[in-house]
Amino acid sequence: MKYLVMEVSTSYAVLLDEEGKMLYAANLHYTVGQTVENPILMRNTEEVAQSDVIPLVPKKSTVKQRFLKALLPIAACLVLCFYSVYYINYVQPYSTITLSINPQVEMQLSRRGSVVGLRGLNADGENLLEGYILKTKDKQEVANALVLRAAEMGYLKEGGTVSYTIDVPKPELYSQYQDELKASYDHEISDEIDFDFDLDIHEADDDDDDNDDDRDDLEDKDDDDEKEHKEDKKHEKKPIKDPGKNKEESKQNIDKTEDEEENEIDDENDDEEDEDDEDDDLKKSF
Amino acid sequence: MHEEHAIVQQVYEAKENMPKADALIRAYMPFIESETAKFLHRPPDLRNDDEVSIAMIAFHEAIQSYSKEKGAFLKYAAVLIKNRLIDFYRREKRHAQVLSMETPTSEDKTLADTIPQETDAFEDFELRDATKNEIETLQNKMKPFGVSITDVAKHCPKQKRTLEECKKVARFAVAHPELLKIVSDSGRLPVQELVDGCGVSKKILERHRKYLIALLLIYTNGYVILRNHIKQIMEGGENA
Repeated sequence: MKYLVMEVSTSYAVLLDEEGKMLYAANLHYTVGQTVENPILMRNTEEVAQSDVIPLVPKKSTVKQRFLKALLPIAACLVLCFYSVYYINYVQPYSTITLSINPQVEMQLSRRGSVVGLRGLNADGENLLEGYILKTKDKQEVANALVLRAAEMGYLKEGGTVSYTIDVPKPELYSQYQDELKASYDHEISDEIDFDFDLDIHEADDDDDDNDDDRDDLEDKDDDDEKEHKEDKKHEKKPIKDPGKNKEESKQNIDKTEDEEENEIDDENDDEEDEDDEDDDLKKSF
Repeated sequence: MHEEHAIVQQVYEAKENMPKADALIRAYMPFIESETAKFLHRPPDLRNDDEVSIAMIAFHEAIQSYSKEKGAFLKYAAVLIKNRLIDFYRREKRHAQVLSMETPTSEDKTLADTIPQETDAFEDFELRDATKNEIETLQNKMKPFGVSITDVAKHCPKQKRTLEECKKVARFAVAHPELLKIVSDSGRLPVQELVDGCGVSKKILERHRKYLIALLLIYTNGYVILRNHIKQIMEGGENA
């Protein structure tokens, strides 16, 4: 096919083909009016798309994409912040309440007061916990469950003491926990357990807890002694029927168990002993 | 970055405007020359090397086919230029078995001497000159109508079917010289008459208006060489 050069410009030429088509082509140093045979015709876009394989260029990131990308570290920070707040308040141990009956068990509480850990401090403690599945995070419920368990397993007996040692950084928290434990004792445990036992709630010192218990026992003994003296005085005020009675009473007072401190059972015992004394006296008279 | 936006802007403007594209290419000649040099492994000779011309037409193709998703424009153009040059070389290689005209056949004679002279060099020049004159006349005729040869090429039908329709129009107009006169006098295309006369759709007539004007003008007086060149159009009518 022959082509007539119709127009030339720096970067292209216009050729007329024999079909009357006017085409753009490379200007291979043509002159107008020239007839040419092997032109380099300009391809249209579809032809270019088919024949030229363009290496995939990574799309330039748009402003939107960059913005979203920048959000990532911020989101990560936020996640960290929220999690750390959650962790500090609900997961990390903040205070402990040590339950001592004979088995010693430590309840670890979070800042919010929910139970986050349980461990036995002595062999009996571990035994007590064995098989106990922590279902609730409420410390009252856990404490109650443990005490009941101790009663069922035989650790807590009639006349025993349930002792809670509360170790908290803040004094307000201590009184709050103390109230809560006492309330739960009054409402629940004392109903559930048939026999009587004592409840002791106190703060943890820096010293060893064991020493505290011993000292407490000694103090109890002292208290008891004091009470006995008070009772002696009470009896002395009564009209003296039998001088011998006083001696026996004081003797019996000393014989009482040392752990009964808060009970008013003493008074009841006094009455019983009075009756006993009277019986004895009657016997003596015969 | 800013440069990127600027050039992309220019590319988009040049897509529909051939003179602008030409200007853009002239502005980026250093780039085009360096890309060609990379391929040739030597600096290009602007007067004799065809490669630069090919690179330039490839740049045109890049302008036409570029869109933003394709990445940076210059990188895209560079790929097209390279591909074109490779294609050209492959084609040239096929014709590589070209002997120099100066090859001696026997003593005192060369290959060039053995070729029978079909055309006279002087005639060649005459012909070309005459053609050039015709073309220039046509250009001047079209100018007041706001049609340039570049425009004509731009609005030329690319699909075979459409081209056939345009040929139909030409044949019909030639058969009805009064229509040709209308075009020649006013630069207007007698659309209605053509639609009625040869059944070509109005849409095609409108879309390829400038091309049709030029085509029809060629069939008015004077443009012998041009007519001769495209005589296939008229022949097509006989076969249809």
